[in-house]
Amino acid sequence: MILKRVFQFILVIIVCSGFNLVTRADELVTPQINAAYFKLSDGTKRITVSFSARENDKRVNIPYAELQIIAQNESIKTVLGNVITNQLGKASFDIDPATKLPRDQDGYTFSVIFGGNTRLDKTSRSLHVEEAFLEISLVEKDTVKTISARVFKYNEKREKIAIPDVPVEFNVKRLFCLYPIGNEKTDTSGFCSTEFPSNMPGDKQGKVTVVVRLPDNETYGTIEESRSINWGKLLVYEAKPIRGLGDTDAPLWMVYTLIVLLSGVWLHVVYIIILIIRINIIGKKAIKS
Amino acid sequence: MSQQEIAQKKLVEIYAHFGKPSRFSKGLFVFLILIVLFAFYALILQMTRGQIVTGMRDYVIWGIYEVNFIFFIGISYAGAMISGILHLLHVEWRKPIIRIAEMITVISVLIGPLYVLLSMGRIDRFLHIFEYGRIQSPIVWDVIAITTYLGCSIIFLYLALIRDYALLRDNKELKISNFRRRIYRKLAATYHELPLQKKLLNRGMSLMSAIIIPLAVLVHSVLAWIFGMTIRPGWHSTIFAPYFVIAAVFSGTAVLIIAMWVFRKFYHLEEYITEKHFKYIGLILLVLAGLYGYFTFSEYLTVWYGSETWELEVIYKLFDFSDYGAWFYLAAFIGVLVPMIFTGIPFFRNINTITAGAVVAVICMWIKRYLIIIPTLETPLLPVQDSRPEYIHYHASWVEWSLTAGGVALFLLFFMIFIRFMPIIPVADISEVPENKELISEKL
Repeated sequence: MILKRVFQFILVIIVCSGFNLVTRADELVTPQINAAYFKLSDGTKRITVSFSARENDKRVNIPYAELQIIAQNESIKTVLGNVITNQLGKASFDIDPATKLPRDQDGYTFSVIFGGNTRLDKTSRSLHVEEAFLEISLVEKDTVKTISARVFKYNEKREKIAIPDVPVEFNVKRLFCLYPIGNEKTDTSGFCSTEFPSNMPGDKQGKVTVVVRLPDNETYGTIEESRSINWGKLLVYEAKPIRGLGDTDAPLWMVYTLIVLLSGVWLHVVYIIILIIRINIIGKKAIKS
Repeated sequence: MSQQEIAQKKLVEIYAHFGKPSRFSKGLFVFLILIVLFAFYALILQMTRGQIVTGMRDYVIWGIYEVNFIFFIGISYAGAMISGILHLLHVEWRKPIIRIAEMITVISVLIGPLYVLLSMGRIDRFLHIFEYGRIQSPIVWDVIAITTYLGCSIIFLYLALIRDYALLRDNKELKISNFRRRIYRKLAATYHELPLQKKLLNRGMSLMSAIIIPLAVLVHSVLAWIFGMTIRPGWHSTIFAPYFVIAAVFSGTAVLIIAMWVFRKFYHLEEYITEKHFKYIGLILLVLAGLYGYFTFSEYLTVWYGSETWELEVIYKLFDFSDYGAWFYLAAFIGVLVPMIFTGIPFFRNINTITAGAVVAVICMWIKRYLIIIPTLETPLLPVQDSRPEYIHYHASWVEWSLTAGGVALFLLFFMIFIRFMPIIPVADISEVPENKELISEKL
C-alpha cells in the first residue's frame, strides 16, 4: 500500500516536471532593449540600441534581430527606419539633421520596437530626450589655450536657458579613441572651461580636433561638439629608417645576395644549355664522319 | 644482345601500354576537359564580376587559392628532392619512378602559380610586380624563385628525356607519325650514345640534380617567409621555412606514391614499378611523416606555452572542436599517424596500404595549408569593422571550388598529355647495367 502511494507520488512528480519542461520549452523569452540618444557635432541624431535576453541566468546578446525605430508625439507617429543588430547585439541608427521629427513640448520621444519571433516575445523601449545644445569656443590668451563650453536649451520664446551643474568632458581626438584632457561641471550660467595641454601632439601642421561632450545625460542624452584647431605640437617625421625594408631602396647586401644567388643558378643553366648544344654538335659530326 | 637493343625492346614493350588510349582513358579525358571548361566559366565570372564572387573579403584576403598554390608548389618536391637526391646518390632502384617524379614537378610548378593570379583583385596589374617590384619584398623573392625553379625543372626533365627521345627517334618498330618522329629527332639533339655525349649528358644531369635541391628548398623557404615575416599569430615563426620544406617533401612523396600506384595499375607497369619501390618510397614517407609530426608538435607547443594573447586566439580556434578543432586534429594526428602505421609496421605494409597512407597524407596536408592561412586571417589585431558573418568567417564559394577542381583536372590532363609524348619509364636508364654494384642503393 505504501509502495503504491510512493509510486503514485513519483508518477505525479514526473508528470508535473515533464509538463513544466514542456511549458518552459514553449515559453517565449522576453528580450530587453536598451537605447541611448546621441547628438553629433554635425547635427546628426543617433539612436544606439543594444538588444539582449536573459537565458540560464546569463545575459545573452541577440544578433541579427530587426528593430524598428519610431519618433512620435501625441498626434504624429513617424517610422524612421529599421536596424539589424550586429554579432554583439548592438545597432545604431543615424537621423539626418534635415529630417523633420515630431516634437513634443521640450524634446523628442523615440521608440525602438521588436516585433517578436518564434523564440522571442515582442518588446519595445521608449526614450524621451529634451533637446539641449552645446557651444564651444577656443581662445588663446598669453600662450594659455582655453576650451570653453556652454550648455543650454531654448524655452518657448526661443530664449537660451542655461543648464547648470551637468558634467562636461573635454577630449582630443586621437587615431583610435578620444584622449581626455578635462572633466568639468557647468556653473549657474551653463559655462565651464578647461586648459588645453601645451605638449599635445598634432599632425604635420599641428592640427588637433577638440571634442567636447555632455556625456550620457538622463535628460539630454549625449551631446557632442568638435572643432579642429592648430594648437598641437608639430609632428616631425623621423629620418630614414636604418633597416630599409620599408624603404623604396633595398639594402645593398640583399641586392648583392640576390644577384650572386640568381647568377649562380642561371649561369649553371646556361652552362647546361651549352652542354646540350655540344652534345648536338658531337652527334652531327659523328653522323658526317 | 647489346644495351641499345635491350632498350629498344623495352621501349616497344612499354609503348604497347601507352600506344592506344583505352575507352576509360578517353572517357576520363573528356570528363577532365569538362571540369576544366566549367572552371574556365567560373574564371570568366570572377574576371567580370570581381572578387565578390569568391568568399574572400577585407580580412580573409587569401582563401583556398593560396592553399592550392602552396599545395601544388609543395608536391613539386617529388621531382626536385626525390629524383635529385636519388640521382646524386646513384640509387639504382630510383630509375623506373624518377620520370613520374620529374613530371609531377614540372606540372605542379606550371599549375601552382596560376592560383596566385586568381587571388589578385586586379590581375591586369600582374606585370607591375616586374615593373615596380621591390627586391626587399618576400613576394618578389617568390616570383623570382618560382620562375627560376620552373626553368630548372623543365631543363632537368628534358636532360633526363634526351636518351629516351633518341631511342624513340631510332625505333623502327613503333608506329609513330612522321610529325611526331620529327619532333623526337629535334628533341633528341642528335644523341647517339657516344662516350663523349654520354659523359656530357651525365655531367649536366649531376649538375642539375645538385642545383635543383637547394633551389627547391629555397623556393619553399621563400614561400614560408611570405607568412613568417608577417607579424601575425600562427605565421610569425622562425621554424616556418624548414617546417614548410618538410611538409612539402612529405606531400610531394605522397603524391609520387599515388601516381606510381595509378600508373602501375592502369598502364600495367607491374614489371617496372614493383612492391620494392613502394616499400622504399614508403620508408622515405615514414621518416618524413615523423619529421613533419615533430615540427608540428614543436611549433604549436612553443606558441601555446608562450601564452601570448593574440597567438592564443588562433591556437584556441584550432584546438576548439566547435571551430577548427576537428580539422586540426585530423591534419596533425591522422595525417601523420596513418601514413606512419601503414609504412612503418611490416604487418600493414603493402602496395595498397602504402598508397592509402599517401592519400591520407595528401588530403591532410591540403587541410593543414588551409589551417595555416584561414584562421590567422580571421583573427585580425584590430577589431573587425563590419561584423557581418562573411567578413568574420571565410567560406569558399562555388567559384573557388570550381577553380580548385579545375586545377586538379588540369594536373591530371597534363599528365595524360605528357605521357603521350614522353616515356613514363626512363627506358634508356633502366636498360643500363650499373658499372659499380657496390652502390648506396644496394645498401638501402
